[in-house]
Amino acid sequence: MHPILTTLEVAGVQVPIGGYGALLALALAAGAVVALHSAHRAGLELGAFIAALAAAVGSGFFGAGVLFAAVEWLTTRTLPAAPGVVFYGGAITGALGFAWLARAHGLPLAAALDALLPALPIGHAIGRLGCYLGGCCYGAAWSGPWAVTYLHPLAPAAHPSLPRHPWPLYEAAVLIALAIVFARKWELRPGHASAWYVLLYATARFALEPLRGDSVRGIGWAGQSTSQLISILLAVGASAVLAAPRLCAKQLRV
Amino acid sequence: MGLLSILLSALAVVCAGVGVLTTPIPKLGLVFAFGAPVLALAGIMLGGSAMSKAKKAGQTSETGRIGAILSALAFVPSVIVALTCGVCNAFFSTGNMQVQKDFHIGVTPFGTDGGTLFLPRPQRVRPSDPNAEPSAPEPDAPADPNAPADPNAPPPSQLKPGPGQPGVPAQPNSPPPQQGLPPPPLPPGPGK
Repeated sequence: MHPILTTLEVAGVQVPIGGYGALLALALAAGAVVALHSAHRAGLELGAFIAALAAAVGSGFFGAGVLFAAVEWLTTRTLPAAPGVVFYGGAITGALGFAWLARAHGLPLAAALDALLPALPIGHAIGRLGCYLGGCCYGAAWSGPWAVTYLHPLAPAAHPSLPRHPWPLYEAAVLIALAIVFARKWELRPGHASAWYVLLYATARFALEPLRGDSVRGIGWAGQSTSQLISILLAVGASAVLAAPRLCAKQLRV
Repeated sequence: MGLLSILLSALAVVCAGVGVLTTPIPKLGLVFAFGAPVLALAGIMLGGSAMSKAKKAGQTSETGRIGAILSALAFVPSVIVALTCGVCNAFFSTGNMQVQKDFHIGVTPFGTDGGTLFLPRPQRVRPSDPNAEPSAPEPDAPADPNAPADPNAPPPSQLKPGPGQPGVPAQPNSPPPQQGLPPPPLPPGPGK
């Protein structure tokens, strides 16, 4: 794959442009554009939505990094040698940051969360393509017809270089399907589209996790990885929101 | 708030540029590379807040809008700088990567766990004793390609290959020959 897309020379310093970093930046930009379009269509106030979105991205990166370090430490009792991110950590703290600033600016939280929906799977899918280029978040060893073998020494999946499941592509496919589903305007209560998304994504992630190949997959409980445990918790929470619409409306109304 | 947003967007761009230039400097480059997206995000938040407050007051905040747009434009390259130069600098700062004089980066390959780089710390070179007698070269040391040729040395065809080289069976108890390291890697930014 292409862990390094290209190399620029800035004032005599060679600057490699990583495939993961470039696609993550593209994911954030594309996600922000789609989210702003959705917020405009939903009649939300754009200034407050922009501020909440920025808070979500900032707190999301912070949470993703903290969860990455926590998972590494719980598994190996050592802090990671380099920064990394875990999606679920970013999703949870990002949602909290978004809710905090949305409430501070008086945005209707349930409607604002629903406005994030087509953007979130689109950005996440582009980010997974970045994982595929960078060779991280790789799949388990497998020699099937569409197995991929990473050879670039920069790719973590190339150590050892084995035919593997193209795991980021599996999840990107699921996310694109979810983006198509949630691009349609469903007649649901405010907040229910978000709850359905969390439920569907958590279920898909739980099912895809056994195909992951990285050795550091979390603390492990009853054979589950950290992401599977979080998937269970999120699915239960989303089911509770869907099963108790009055509670949901009471909690999310601003 | 709007003006502060514009200022933060400019600072983010400056920070990203300095972050690129200070990539090989441990810790300092880290601050600039990861500080740039933080400044840009703060600029977006302040710009959005300025727009929101102005709308509630029945006005429009052009400076807030300009600040939010400029900060958003600054955020994209800042993220790229943070995830390339910043991650590189994290390795320099933890001593897991070494900068050579010509700015080439010499590292060992990724660990086998795939998620994290486990690289050996650079070894300090022990200063040689100026009073010590020059010692004979080690027998296993590689030949210096720039050294003058010995006129009494036998032609290369008469040299016996050593263990591990083609033509000589490996000794049962001899260590395996060392393989060359792959090209120096740079971290792509691990994610889960």
